Amino acid sequence: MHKLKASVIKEFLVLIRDIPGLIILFLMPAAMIIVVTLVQDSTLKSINENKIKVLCIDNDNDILGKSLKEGLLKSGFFDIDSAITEYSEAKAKVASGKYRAAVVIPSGATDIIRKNVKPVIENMFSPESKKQKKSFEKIKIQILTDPTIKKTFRQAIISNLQTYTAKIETRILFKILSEQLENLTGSKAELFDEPAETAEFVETFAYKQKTNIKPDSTQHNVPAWTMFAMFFIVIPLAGNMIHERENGSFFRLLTMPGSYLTVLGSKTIVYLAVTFLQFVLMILTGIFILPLFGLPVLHIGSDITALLITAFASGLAAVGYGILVGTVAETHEQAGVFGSVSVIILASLGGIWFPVYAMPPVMQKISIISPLNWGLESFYNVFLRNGSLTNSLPQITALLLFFVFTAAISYFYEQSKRLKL
Amino acid sequence: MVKLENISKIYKHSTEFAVKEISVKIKKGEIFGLLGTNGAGKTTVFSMLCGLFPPTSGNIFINNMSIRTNLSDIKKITGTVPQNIALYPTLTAKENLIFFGRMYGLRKKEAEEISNFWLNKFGLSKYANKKIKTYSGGMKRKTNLIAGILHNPELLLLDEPAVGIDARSRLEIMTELKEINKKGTTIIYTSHYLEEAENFCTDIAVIDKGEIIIQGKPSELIKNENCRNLEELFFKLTGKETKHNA
Repeated sequence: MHKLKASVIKEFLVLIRDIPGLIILFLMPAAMIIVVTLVQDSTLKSINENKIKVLCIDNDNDILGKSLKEGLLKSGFFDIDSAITEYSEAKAKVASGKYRAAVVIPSGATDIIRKNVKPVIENMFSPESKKQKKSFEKIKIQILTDPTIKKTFRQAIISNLQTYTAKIETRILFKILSEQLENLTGSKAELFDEPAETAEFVETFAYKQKTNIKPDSTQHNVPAWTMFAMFFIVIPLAGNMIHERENGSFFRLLTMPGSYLTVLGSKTIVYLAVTFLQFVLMILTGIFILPLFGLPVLHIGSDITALLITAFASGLAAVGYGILVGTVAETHEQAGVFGSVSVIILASLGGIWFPVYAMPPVMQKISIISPLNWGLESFYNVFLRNGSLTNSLPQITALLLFFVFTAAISYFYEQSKRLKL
Repeated sequence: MVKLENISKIYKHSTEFAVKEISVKIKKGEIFGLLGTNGAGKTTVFSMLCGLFPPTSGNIFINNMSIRTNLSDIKKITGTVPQNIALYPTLTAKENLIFFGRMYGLRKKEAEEISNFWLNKFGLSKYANKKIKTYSGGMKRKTNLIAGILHNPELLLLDEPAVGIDARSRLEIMTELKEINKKGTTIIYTSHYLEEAENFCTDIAVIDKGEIIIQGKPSELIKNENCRNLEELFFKLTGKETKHNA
């Protein structure tokens, strides 16, 4: 036991004297959480508050043109500018990036709707023998978009235009219907001008337990980047192991009485403590630092035990992976490149950058191989779903097994490497 | 004390013998020199003696214990000084020595006292709390040696213990090693410093292309082969000069 203690002290001293390593371990992840959360938060704000500048050329000058402009404005996502009337000028402005999109409503658009709707109503009131099949003329509303804007923004514009065009069609349909009824009955038909919206959408978050946690950029980013930071321990840990081999101290250790497990055990203890400190630092950043930048404060859920055990299991998995890379890699370059690239791939698969549910089905299936996904899911259970330890048990078990698996491979790989010399 | 019984080594992915059917007996209290040029097989023999990997065939016995079955017991009575400076550069000399002492099974206080003793003996006391990376080559070599003798081993394995340092530091190291030997520690030493080996070793073996071509007491071997010194004997037997003299 005293060998393990001595080894732990040595690992600790080596670690605290590696200043660049400490920066990678602590400052970079904290900076990452702040920057990414700020960027994501401001991106959401840019949609909801900053508004996208859209040019509108209304050649219709009738109900449709007016309503579409009003509709886009009412949606709250767009800032409508009608100053430009020429298509070529609008195209140039959008191409230059001054406006994100331009909507060109053709002249006579409202008339086309009227022409399309009128025969439909007339057919309704005509005898069966006189009913005719009518062809409909289409209105071509042109949408010019800046190539740099995302697909979701383009879809938002089209969706709004479709909604308000449908509303205008309905309004015109009702107007013609009332005229027809007036002709038939001789009395003025008092139909409502515009049908009221009968559906109200009530959004409620499906929590496992009652809570006041609200999903926001902080609740999403803190656990995601905590997992990422924990797994980035692979670089200093693998570097430490390779350095030990290169300077010969590992050789000396192998000639000394004692098990290789002592060497692995001491590294596990020290680097596990580091991952735990990273976790605490990230939580504190979420609670105290992010609000200083105007970001939402982090709520850590109600099951602290589940949170701590998740952090412990995630840390162990990260250390196991670092030990494996440090054992298999033969040079700093190999460990550095393979370690960082593999963590980025595992992070991408695990949903750190992009949510797993939004990935293609094949990638969703592949994502379950990523230990970062298990850790993230377990953190989300606590942070976002207000779940308990029971809900996180499958992920925690997987993380612990991952550590056992990677540590065992590292141990046997090292043993067999020497025996096979 | 040490018996190498017909040991051979063929490395993986190689068909050639790195070491071929070597048999050596080393008595307790001897300073045995394993001499040869680079690539002759010295480090392979040294690594097998340390228990780093087993011989492909044959066996090594230390105090009648087989290296194949009693490695952990053998490690307890053996001290190793590798050719590389096998120390942690960001730790101080004292931190390094206490750590390695404890890995040899010493208690913390004991490791501290013995480290202080040896640091003092080698004139390193006032640098004990300086990081190894700030040390000169000679200071590093001395600390590297101390790390292998903290537990007062019965058998000391030295791989080029004084390579690449100034003459004064080399002399200090070799003098201390003789003192250690006088107190009963058997020493196996590899080197290509033949002049040093001639003065230092009680017995030698010359290894070339993985095979021992001659072994015995240096003075007797020189006399029997009608040579003036070990250097001349070595050249006569191998047709090569050691790297040091080349």
